[in-house]
Amino acid sequence: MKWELMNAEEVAQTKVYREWGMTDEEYEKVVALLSRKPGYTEIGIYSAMWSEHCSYKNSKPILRKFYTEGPQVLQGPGEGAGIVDIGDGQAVVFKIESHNSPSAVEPYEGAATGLGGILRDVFSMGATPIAGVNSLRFGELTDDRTRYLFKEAVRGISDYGSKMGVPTIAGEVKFDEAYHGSPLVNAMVVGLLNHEDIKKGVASGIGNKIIYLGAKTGRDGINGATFSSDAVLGDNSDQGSAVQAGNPYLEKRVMDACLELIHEHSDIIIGVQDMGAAGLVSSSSEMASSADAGVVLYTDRVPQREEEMTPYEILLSESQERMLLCVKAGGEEVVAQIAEKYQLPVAVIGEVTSGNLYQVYHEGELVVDVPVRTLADDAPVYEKPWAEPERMKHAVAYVPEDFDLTEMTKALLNTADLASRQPVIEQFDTTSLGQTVVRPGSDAGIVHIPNSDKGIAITVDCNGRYVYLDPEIGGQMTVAEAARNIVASGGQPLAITDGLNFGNIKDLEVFYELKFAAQGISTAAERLQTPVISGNVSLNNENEAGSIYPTPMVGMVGLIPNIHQVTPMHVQQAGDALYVVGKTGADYSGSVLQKYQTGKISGPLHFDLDEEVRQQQLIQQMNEKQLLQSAHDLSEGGLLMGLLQKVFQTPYGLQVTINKSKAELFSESASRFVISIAADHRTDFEAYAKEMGINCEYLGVVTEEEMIAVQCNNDQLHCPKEELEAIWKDGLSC
Amino acid sequence: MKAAIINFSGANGALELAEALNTHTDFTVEHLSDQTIDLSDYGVIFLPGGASYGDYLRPGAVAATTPVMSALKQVRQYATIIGIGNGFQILCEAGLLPGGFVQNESLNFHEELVTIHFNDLKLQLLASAKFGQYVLNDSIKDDQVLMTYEKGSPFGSRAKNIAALCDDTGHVMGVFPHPERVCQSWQAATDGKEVFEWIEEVASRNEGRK
Repeated sequence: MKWELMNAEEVAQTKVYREWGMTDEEYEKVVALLSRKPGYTEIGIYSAMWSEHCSYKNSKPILRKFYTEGPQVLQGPGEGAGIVDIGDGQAVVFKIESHNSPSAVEPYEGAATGLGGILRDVFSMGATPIAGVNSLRFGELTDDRTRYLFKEAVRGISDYGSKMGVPTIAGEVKFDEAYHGSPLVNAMVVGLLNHEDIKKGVASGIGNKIIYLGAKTGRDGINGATFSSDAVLGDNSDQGSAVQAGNPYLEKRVMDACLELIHEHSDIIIGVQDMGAAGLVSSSSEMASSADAGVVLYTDRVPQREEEMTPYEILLSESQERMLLCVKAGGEEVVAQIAEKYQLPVAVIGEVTSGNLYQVYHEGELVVDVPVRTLADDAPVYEKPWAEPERMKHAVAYVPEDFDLTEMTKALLNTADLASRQPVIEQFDTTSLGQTVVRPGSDAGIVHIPNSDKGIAITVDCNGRYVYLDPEIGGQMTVAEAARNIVASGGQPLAITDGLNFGNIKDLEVFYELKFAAQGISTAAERLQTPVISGNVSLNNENEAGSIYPTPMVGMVGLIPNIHQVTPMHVQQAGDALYVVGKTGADYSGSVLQKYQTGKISGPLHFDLDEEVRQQQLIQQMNEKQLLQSAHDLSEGGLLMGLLQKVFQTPYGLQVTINKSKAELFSESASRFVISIAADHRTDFEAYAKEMGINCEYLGVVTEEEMIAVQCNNDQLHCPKEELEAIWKDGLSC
Repeated sequence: MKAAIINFSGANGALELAEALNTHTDFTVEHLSDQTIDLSDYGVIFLPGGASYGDYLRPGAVAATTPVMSALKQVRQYATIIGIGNGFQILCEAGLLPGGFVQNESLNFHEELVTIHFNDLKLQLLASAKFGQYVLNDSIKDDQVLMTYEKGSPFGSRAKNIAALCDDTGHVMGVFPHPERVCQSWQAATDGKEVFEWIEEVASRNEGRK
């Protein structure tokens, strides 16, 4: 028993599994499944595989209810990433993933390896990554630690992305005390592949080889999966080793090697999987379980960069940049040659077996001998109790205090909520690969599909304030906003991936947030025909003050039929008419205005999914008729902010008269767009909108003179654009 | 004319460069590994952008020691050699071009669409780098400077206002902003076309002198 730190009896007595996040009840379940007491390595791998991060034991009942179907879906949830058909024998592969806990401790490496992990999920399926997107949340930028977390997380993503040559083409970053000390760092990657190149994470065919390719294994990230599922609270100094360090140069070679194997040697490649959370044990057991096969591994054959590693450590290490392949017997030599070409460590570490056992030998000693499915499929599933949040029971609509329009406009432009994201955007490589059509800063980023006229529009959205006030409606609004961003850019929404970031689900109200936000997402996904094809769950995000805002980030991908007919966000010429599409109501609950005036948020939300669909249809049809000069989704800050965003960074100004109160200029009613159309298309457009029964309001014109002239019912704003734009540009200090 | 693009390990700019060359020049493009030891067949040789060898040590430092660099030195009397972005950095590290690159003043990666003065033209090109400050202690002739930034280097105040230059023979050139990212109909600008057409002219002229 050289390689077992303690025997099965000692495991039972010391309850060592508790340190790894496993409960006594879960331990008893393992004993029952095996009809014996598990050994040290065995219970170690169960505690990782049964963590929330790997098993989704707490969220599975919720995830099962997602709307996941559609003719465009080639692969739904369950694989490394989901796949959607884009026609012409091609498909896009995408998924969002969180790396919140590591980023709270070591933001540079945490963010970098988060991107590295999701890249591997995408290229392991045979897809070439074509775009990266990120969604970030931090506390307000009022203390050094928060500024450090923000700066370093951005730097981590920037460095890893630019060295991989994968452009960052969209994203969002928001700041709120709700995320103080508990930042959210989510990264999404979109890849492109031909249908025939789709590879899944399976290990089938008795005698076929399990091959390890990529970085050597060290002691980094052991029990990272368990750590990720725990709250990030207080002193984390002893958990530094649970954060992995990234190496993009190695990842680039691993990617090139995997894609060469899949594209040029598909006859020998059975399956490919990233060694992500819970490393080797998770990838190997999931691959075998997917094929209903057994597997035997020899952990002493795993390339290692530290001495005297135990099988427990080798199985659970989360060292980065490692892939596991299932290769037809006889194909080992080809894999070895490709590994040599890219100078990568490679080793045959096991094979597919008959039966259904997961067996691990280390230097001849059998240290794991359990049924495969008990690891991957038999994790407990918990139906958690929930309770409607108190705040929802007494929700009263917010009525804004009076203000001066000019002062308020300047003040809001200067908040971290609404200030220009340019200081962040310019730190990313947004144009590598040469296919970027629309860079970050618009409603959606767009990349060109090579050798075609098509493009892919990508956005990621979530307004945690709305989801906090009403999880179900907020969830619906999140999907709707993402779709509005795609539609405003001239795209047709295809599908979504969701990054479910929530607080501590032991809190009944937090579990309510998760359950009902997911329900809202699912309802809207079905109504908008954008199925959920992949996703990620990150729970227990909390700080001293409590749980974060529920933040289910929705990454959406849409198809652009012709990249030469993209609808820009910014106005295009003087004299064009400006309209707002959709109704503006008294929607101040959860608004930036409320946050600015009161420092907190409260109140009920209003949202009509049918209205949303109609408004989006109008814009889509206007796109098809090529009547739009520009279109922009209205979201945080409302109509006035949307108008300003349309003329900032252009050589134009605007002159509008709006039949609304000044407060209504900041109302955040959903389902609205602000558009510009050529003057001679006004009659056509108005007739068309009327026929569809859609509320459209003429506001005024784009002007040659760079002035902002806004007249509303009870105030006016008359200001050189330059002055407002300067405030907006400098509002984000980083 | 046959053009070679050197694929340095880990670099990522070769594909878009090949696409740009195929769009705007009559070059016959081939991709070669950085272990190549004979370049005598090629009239023009490109060192593309994008983090060769993961930018270890300094961008270009490791790539400058690869076998293909010795091969480059053998053909530089008659072939035209062009480094773009990281390729420029490699040429500096190998001593084929003067000067060198240091980290941006902000310490961060920086990307910006910038106006470049090139011959009598003003071009919109894309500056994108983390080690973008070009520093130069040697004196060079005025006609070695091929491009300058209209508003000064976007990467920091230590940098010379040079966006592209050539060696004293005119055969070896470094272009720091990326013309291959702004030369196609779908990209943010299309001025990169001018650069590729000019490269083709220079390459033909140099070949004529062979």
